[in-house]
Amino acid sequence: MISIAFMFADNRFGYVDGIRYGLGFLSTPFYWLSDVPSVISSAFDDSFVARSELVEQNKQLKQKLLVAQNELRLLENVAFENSRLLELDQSASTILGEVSPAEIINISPDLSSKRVLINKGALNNVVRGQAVLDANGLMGQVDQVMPTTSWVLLITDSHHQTPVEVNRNGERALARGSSRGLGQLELEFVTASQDIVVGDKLVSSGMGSVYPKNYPVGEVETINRNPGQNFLAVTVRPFAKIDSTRLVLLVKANSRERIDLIKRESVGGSFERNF
Amino acid sequence: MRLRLVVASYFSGFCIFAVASIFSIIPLPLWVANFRPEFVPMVIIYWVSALPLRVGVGTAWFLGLFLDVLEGSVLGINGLGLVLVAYFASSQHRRFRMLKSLQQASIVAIVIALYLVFSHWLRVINGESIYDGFSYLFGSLTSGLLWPLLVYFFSFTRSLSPR
Repeated sequence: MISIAFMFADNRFGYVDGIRYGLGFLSTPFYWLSDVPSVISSAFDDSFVARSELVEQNKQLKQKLLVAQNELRLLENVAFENSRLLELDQSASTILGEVSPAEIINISPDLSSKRVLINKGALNNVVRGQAVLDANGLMGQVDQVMPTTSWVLLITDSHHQTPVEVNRNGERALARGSSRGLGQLELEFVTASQDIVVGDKLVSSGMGSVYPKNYPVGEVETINRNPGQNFLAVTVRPFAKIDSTRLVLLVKANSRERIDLIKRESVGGSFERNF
Repeated sequence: MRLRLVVASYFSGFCIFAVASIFSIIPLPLWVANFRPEFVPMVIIYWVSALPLRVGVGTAWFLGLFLDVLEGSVLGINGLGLVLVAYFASSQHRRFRMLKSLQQASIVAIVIALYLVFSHWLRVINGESIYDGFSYLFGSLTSGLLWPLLVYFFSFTRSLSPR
């Protein structure tokens, strides 16, 4: 019992990440086995369509389409931005970074935590904090990395907040996963004077440097004003088809962040040398 | 011959627990996900009460650790819950074995409900899950309903093995 209490305390400080990583090697066949039912069902679907080569081709085309659709969305946002005459500085950061396709192979057995498992891990150079997209919008970020798989925290999780802005006028807000687990987002701390209306499209604002700028996040669905409260209750429907998609894109951390990181490391280094 | 038997029994034990943990992470459609039977604590209750000297609290703890890795939750949550389940089973195994299978099933349902409540608390404390109603407790009912089947299956396979 003491060892378990110890384990709990440890987990807060991340000493046990090594154990998790080690056991992660063991866990791969288990994930593979637990994915067998859905693989079989999709294989059945495919066998009525075509032979294996066609299936393979289809898969590749789907991935290409995913990338293309994403670029299209981004271009749409760039057009919006241009119309707002916000130039140069920001449009430089709207270039789509390097992306790599991945597949969702499992979901969290706990219904109230919104997480999914993807089939790329540390051996595929996935790192913690990478953004995950589907064809329609932002899905979440990589939370735990194991050797061949990793857990993605979705933007609809109640502990996840996404910095967003309205692409019509640049109003900023924080979108948090619905606390009732409904697969929606809620905007926090929106005052009555802010210019947000139903139907507004929200894109990631790039603050917090987890998500790149201008990825589509969702659409404002309802706005309720409760006279007793200071802030409006705004619900947002995510663009990403979080419950039905299987193919996702992993965005590599962009070069600007990497430069920041290098800078910070070098500053830290010189700091140590001085003392 | 003796060694082979020992190896075979360890291997079959490993397989049973592996299958149980796979059952607990297979993705299910939303409307049945709340009714997912908790196979791992059920298997632990059965084997601890059947072979209290071979399977015990330690087995349960390591199994819980592995289950945590599989579920991607905070390490130790399932371990703690399963240790309590195993402790209950090993301290009460004589009384438990005397009961009829329906009585056993109701006790299993209660124990698993306690296990679910406890691990849900731990998840909420760790900020992994949120508090929304008691729908997660349906899993204990289905586990109770499946218990006689599980007992039948295990006693059948045990009668097949040479002993």
